Amino acid sequence: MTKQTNETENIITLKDVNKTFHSRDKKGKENQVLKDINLEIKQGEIFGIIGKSGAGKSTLVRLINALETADTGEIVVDGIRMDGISRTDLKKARKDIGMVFQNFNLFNFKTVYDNVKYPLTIDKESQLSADEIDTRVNGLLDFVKIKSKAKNYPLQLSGGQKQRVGIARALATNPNIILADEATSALDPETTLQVLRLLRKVNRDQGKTIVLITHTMSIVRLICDRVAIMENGKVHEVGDVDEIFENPQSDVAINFVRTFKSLEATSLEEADHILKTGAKHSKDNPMTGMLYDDPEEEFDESDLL
Amino acid sequence: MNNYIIDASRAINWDTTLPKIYEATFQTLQMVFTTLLVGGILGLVFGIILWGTRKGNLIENFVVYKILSLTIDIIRPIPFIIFITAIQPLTIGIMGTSIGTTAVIFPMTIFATVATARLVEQSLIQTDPGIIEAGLSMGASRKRILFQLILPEAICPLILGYAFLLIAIFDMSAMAGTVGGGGLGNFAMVWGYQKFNPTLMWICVGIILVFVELTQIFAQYLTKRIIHKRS
Repeated sequence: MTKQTNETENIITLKDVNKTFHSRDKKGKENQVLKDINLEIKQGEIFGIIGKSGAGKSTLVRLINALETADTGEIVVDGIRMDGISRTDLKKARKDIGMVFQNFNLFNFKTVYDNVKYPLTIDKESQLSADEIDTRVNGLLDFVKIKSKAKNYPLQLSGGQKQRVGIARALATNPNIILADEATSALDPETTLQVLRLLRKVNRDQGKTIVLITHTMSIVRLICDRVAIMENGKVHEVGDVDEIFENPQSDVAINFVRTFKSLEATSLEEADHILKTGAKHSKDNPMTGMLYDDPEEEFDESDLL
Repeated sequence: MNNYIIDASRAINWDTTLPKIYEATFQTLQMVFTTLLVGGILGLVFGIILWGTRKGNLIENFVVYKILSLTIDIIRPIPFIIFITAIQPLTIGIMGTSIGTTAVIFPMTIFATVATARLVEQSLIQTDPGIIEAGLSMGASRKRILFQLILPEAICPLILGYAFLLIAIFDMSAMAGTVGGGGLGNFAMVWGYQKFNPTLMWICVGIILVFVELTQIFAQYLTKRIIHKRS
């Protein structure tokens, strides 16, 4: 394992990363899911990756812990080259990267306690005693406030509780980085907020870098420091969340910001208007109550005749 | 018809018949459990390989998967009674004889292995691929993922699958009787069918039924307990 000294505070760096999926069934069909990706994620930040389904964000985040391998490019995580890493080194490296999943991926035949304990039991190098493991697991269950359910099985929990267990399990080996793949997409709005609060606590109290994948701009707005906006395998814009909301540059970013704002509309007509123009209706010219008219549609005088 | 049954049962000499039934039952159990043990274990291994070599899985290997899968698909559709006779030369080569209880265990084991491999593969496919991803992401080895995460996750379908297998082996053992395999199936055919004694026929059916039902009840009890505990 070659540790590379990093002058900047970047904890994750992706350089010129490309990835194509080849389909065996349909001959010659290729699908380039990632195109020339360059990203730098800083130590201690919550970094969002937003994109519609199929944008390539799931594949991108899986390159970070080498669940997927890139065709070309360089991926450095916490000073370790993840592309071309040996299997033994990879196992070690992965203990430094916790992962939280959309569908929780808990082990249904293990209790909550044993789910959180499992990453520690397979960590041969940690040399924690049974007592130390017990203390750590209980500490984590306390941290995510699910200690009362320690002896329950995942199927006996609600979605939010399951995700809290998922987060505790991801934290078990005390990783520097947490990858959250649509961690709140399967949850209702109230539970989503709970889980986001917990993720922020993980970030603030424990100093973990969090890479958060989502398809919802509101989640980016609520929790992320910076965000990368993806579409069709490309990163179209990267920047501070506030700046992007203030002044989006790319079409994709503009579209996401407008969609976010359109959800505040009180009617579908107003939502459509925001999507088209990016602005809410002024009070002088209320469109509320009117049937939808496309403001960009050219006025055809022949209609009057 | 009724008179015939009563007459037939009266004609049974229980002192000589009962030991024969005991012997047949013993032979059946010997065939069934040897086949279950050997075929069950081999089938588990091949089933795991089938599942693991599938596209996108832990040890993805297109060639191995295709060869195994094709072999299974060739053997499985052959009616068992034809299979026994068809591979007789091989049976003689390996077991030294093609007749008798031990000899029929060979074709039974091959058939059971093939059936089990598919059963295991299907049980494992049902597990959530997310489990593998979770295991990999925390740095677990492929061996750990298989033995500590996937097999325990699939335990209920596996138990039911093996119960189904055991019942299928009872079925096979009856057909094996036709090539001198002995057992209850053979006893039922010789004493019940060929010597026109429905009572003996139904005694055999009854004994097999008891075994099958016990298996089924036990498997269902186990899975219910596991499911109840987890949910």
